[in-house]
Amino acid sequence: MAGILAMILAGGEGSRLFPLTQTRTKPAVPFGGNYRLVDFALNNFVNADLMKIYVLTQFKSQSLNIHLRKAWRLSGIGKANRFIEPIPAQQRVNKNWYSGTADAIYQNARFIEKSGPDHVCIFGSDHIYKMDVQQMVEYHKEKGGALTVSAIRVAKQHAYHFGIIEIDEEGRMIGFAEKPAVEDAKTIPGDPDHVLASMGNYIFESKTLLKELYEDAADSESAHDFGNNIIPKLYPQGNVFVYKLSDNYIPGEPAMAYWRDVGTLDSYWEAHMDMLKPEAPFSLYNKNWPLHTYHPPLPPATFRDPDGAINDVAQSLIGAGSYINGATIKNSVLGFRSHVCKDVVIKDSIFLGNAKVGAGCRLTKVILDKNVEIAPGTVIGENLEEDRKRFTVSDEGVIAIAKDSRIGF
Amino acid sequence: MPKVLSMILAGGEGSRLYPLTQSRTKPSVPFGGSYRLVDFALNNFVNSDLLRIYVLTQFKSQSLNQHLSQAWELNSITDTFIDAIPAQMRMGKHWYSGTADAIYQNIQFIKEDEAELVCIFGSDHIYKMDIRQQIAFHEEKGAVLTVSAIKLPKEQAYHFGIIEIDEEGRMIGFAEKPAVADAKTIPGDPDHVLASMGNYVFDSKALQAELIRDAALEDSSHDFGKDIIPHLYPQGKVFVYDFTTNTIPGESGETYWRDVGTIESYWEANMDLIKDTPPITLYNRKWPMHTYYPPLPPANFRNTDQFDCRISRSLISDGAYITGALVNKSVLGSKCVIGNGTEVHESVLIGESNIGQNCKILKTIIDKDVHIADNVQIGVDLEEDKKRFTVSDEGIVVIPKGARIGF
Repeated sequence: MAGILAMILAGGEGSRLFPLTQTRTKPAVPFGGNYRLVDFALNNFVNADLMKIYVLTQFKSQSLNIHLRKAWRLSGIGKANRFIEPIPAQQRVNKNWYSGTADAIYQNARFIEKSGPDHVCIFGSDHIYKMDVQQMVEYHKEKGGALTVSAIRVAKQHAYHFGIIEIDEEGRMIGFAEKPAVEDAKTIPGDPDHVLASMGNYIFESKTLLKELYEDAADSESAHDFGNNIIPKLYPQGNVFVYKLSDNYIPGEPAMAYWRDVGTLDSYWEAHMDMLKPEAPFSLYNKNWPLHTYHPPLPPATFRDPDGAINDVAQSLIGAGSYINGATIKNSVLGFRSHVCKDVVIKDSIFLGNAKVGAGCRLTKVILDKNVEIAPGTVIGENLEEDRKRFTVSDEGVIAIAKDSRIGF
Repeated sequence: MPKVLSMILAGGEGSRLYPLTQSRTKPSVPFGGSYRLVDFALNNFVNSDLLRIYVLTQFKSQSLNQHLSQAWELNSITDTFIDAIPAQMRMGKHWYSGTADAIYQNIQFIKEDEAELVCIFGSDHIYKMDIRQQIAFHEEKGAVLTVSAIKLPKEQAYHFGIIEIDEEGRMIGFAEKPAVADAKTIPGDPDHVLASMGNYVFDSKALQAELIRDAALEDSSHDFGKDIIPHLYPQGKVFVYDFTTNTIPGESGETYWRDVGTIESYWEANMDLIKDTPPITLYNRKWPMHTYYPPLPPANFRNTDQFDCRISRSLISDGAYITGALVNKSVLGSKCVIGNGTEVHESVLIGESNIGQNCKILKTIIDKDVHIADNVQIGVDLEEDKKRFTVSDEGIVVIPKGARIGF
């Protein structure tokens, strides 16, 4: 079977997102009211009509598996050529968890061999962005290289998070440094404030990939990681190319490419706030690029007005199954089944779903994980010193309340 | 539990719901923001664990078929299915002439099945019902046919099959759509009648025999209410299930059942959803209401320099984009865009509509894909509205699918 096989790495622990990752792997973290992080990567493939997808799972993957089964199971004819299937870490090769990204693929190399694709897409699932992967595939084929890496321009001070790339005029990779110190990071020629960062998305010519994986696996010095080991070894041979996300075009999307790591509470919160801006750099709605996910059987959001208390809602997203009873909601994202009682004021907050907030509460810059219940009259986010005693508070003052918490009772 | 096959009649033309039924069959008419009428009957079966269902379609069934395949496709290794059966003229070149004919023309699906009981239900009504309870009643009575019934005010009698029962619940009288003056009221309750809900649980063998017998009669209209029930009940084996005894897990209070066959009743049933104490709720974790959810983000609310969004007593669906508008006592289906300074009161927006700025919309049903320009008023001056739109006797304005207004 020729064609394109996708392997999505969905094993991230996401420890900097704690407590949101206390019970779930990072790709299963809810986002934007209706979604989970993994949905963004999957939509990038499905909307590009690339539908042979393995999702490699590892840590705390139960909620991810349930989500994949409910939202992403393909049915009907042609199932051999169209599938989205999770592959749990199975210790097929030895009794270790995946030691690096390349090891995760190596341990599942038999799925590539069995399927026999021409090219293999290896993508992460931790980021918020839209990308027509087919366009990157076309670029990869046109360049005829062994590997194409997608990249985005980011501010130089972030260089230490990423693999930093240098390219020649044809887009060939001529330098690569994994997570360099900021002062060592090679900036883009003519643009000393920015670097070209790897997005961790790879399209490999199959034979090269398998050969590299086997060689790397045999190397006891290797960390078995694409960024640390495979790319540095491969690019000096001159057939690694770099695809810029800014060259990707989706009708209806803003000209400026948007790509966000949401690996910390602050970046997770900021990416939500981005969607609420008047000129939002990222929107969940584009009829040319529908974002599929699992939608539980819930009615539309219900607004009530006990004793004539009208709901005042601004710059907010409110999910299905919610009950809003005379509240003020500003700059917030409320996921499925958010139950908000009378005279509540919610600002700059994110509810992952199924929260219940009692009458008269005031919540500012709070992330409520699922199934949180807050007693009437509780105030959170107005005195960070107090909040720190009870909750996780980020550097930027984002308060995160763990799943199933009952506060103030 | 006996083996059950279910057949849902979904062929209704729904002419009194015009223009909502201009391009779709009645069971396919959207309701309550996210749903279509047929979803209520289907959820009653699915939540009752009765998962062997044929849906009999006929008129303008394309949108219904699409909905069934998007929302209700079962993917199962067991013997469960929800399959649409289009009218196929199996018994001659004519459409279904009555409800019994619709089943008779598909009798082979019953013959081929091992089911002991066949449920024949309509799909035009808004209600929740645990059908297992009617089946248990049917079994207990040893009935050939059980009809579910509801108490209604006498003046509505002419719409329904009106039933008389004895103390054991046996049917001892039946009149299809009688004149109000002739309708037999409930003993001791002269203001109410017992009305058939058009939901039948049949013994499969008896059903087949009746259908074959009735099909041969030239002067039959081949209808359950007009022909089959009047023939069967005098034999003493037809029982009447009292719908008010039906209980739904997690719910208490009176049972709710509404025909939404007219513009007014359709509008009122939507308004029921947003009352302070709604007589029917779409939210019950023990009785989830399944439907098709298009890939859309949560409802999006934006303020402007002039206005925040002020929302009261309303249902607002995914994909809505509301900017500085006032929405009051209204039901908005998916992807409704409402502009700054606009007010929407007591209205039903079926979905995918775009209303401009500074509009005023009162007591209006807006079908799908309607675009309304800025500064348009609808429902404010009914005399003007009557020149352009369908306006019901009760003053509800209906804007048909695809309309462009004020451009």
